[in-house]
Amino acid sequence: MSIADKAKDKAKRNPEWMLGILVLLHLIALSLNRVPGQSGVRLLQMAMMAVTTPFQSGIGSGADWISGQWNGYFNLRRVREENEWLKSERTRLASEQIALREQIARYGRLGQLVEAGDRIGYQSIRARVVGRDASRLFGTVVIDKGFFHGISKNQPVVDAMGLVGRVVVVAPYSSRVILITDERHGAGSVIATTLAGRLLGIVRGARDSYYCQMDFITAPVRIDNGEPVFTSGQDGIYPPGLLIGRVANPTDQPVSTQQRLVVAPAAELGRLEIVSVLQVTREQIRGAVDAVIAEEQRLEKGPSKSPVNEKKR
Amino acid sequence: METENRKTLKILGCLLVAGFLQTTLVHVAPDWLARWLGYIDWLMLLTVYIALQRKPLQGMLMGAVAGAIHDSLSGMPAFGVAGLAYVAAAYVTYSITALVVVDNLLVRYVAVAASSLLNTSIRLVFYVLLGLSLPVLAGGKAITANFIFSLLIHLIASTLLYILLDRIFLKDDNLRWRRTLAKRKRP
Repeated sequence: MSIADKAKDKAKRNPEWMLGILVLLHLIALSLNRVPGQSGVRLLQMAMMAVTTPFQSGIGSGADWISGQWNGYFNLRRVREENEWLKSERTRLASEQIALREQIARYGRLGQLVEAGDRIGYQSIRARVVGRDASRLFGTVVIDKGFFHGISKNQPVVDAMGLVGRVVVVAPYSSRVILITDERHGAGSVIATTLAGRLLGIVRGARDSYYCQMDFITAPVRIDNGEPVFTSGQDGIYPPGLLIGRVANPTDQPVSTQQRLVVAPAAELGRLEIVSVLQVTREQIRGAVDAVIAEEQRLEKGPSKSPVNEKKR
Repeated sequence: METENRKTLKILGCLLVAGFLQTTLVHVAPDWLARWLGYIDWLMLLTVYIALQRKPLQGMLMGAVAGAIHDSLSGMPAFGVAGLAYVAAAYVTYSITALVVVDNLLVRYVAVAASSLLNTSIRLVFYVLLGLSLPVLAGGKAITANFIFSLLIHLIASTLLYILLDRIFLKDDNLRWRRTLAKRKRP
């Protein structure tokens, strides 16, 4: 009888041994993920992601294909193809739209404050969402681009409508993105269109996974439902001016002294298909934030000197 | 009686399907249904089914593989929690089947219930230990609700799933004997 057979036989007679070994191995795996100072290193998860993503992508594509055939047969094929093209086009324009939104808003107070919008024109990598989270407790998705495509940790992810989240794990050919509705996610944010001026805060994922919540650093004066919430850039991860969502408090009354607001994400997080990963560096973010602060100070000194007002004259 | 290799292939196929269901079903189902489907841990149910075949090694090893699949498909910030929960579930199932000779629906329910409670407990304990702030840890009410809903949904899902799995996995002689014993009329 070989050693392997002996070991197998022994394990069969004493499953407790196998239980002990497996528990120990799992505890070691857990410990590897929690090495102090290297909490971001998830080697095992990265390796497993690299292995499972092709399958996940294949299965997802297969499911999409079957679903596509089904829909194509029963629906108007031409309309569907046009819709696909529009979706693709919409994503291509995602980053460009963000810049345009900034330029359009420049005619109002918001635009004056985020003058850095001129400089928004980041390179982006288009990626397909190939997987969802296996646990209902976490809000993450897997995209089909990894560090071989130029993706790195903490890069912002957007779709055509707004901010989606940021990259948290990068594998060779895939990455995991934490959504803005995940409770572990936070982003510096700003509401810039109020009468009281710029209101800074932090947008976090809410307990209800469909919404976010915004906690204010400065107390709001009056905020109506539908006010846009943008990234402030002060977290050093997201560049200023990305649309996070809109204020959506349960009551229609304007908020006065409330310190926490409900924010409905602008991005279609439940139906993500194509996203753009922004290739933005910390230096670019810092530069954009400095530009916003400089513009703010200039406005405080004298709004009459703003280029927009001068143009109006 | 089917060969071991064929059975291993079937298990791998079922694991892939369970992983697919785990990640996809909730997102394609309507919202009212997705809320309930979210409680089903397909990989755990499959692990319990394999452990019910009275093969502890196979059950625990499958639990470890299923856990690795689950954690790699999830944004959970620590790798290994699901595997630990599944291995424990497989062992508990084996312990129950070692105590009870017959194999019937009641034994299966007991195994699924015990595994579901253990699976939820281990996960919650580790979430707390890892310092995660999650909705299920919001208070006693949320934790209790999570335990109860998981238990009920797993019992319902297992009833349907195991009928299907019984058709996929051919029963070996021992299992047939235990089934016969369970169905035998007492004098």
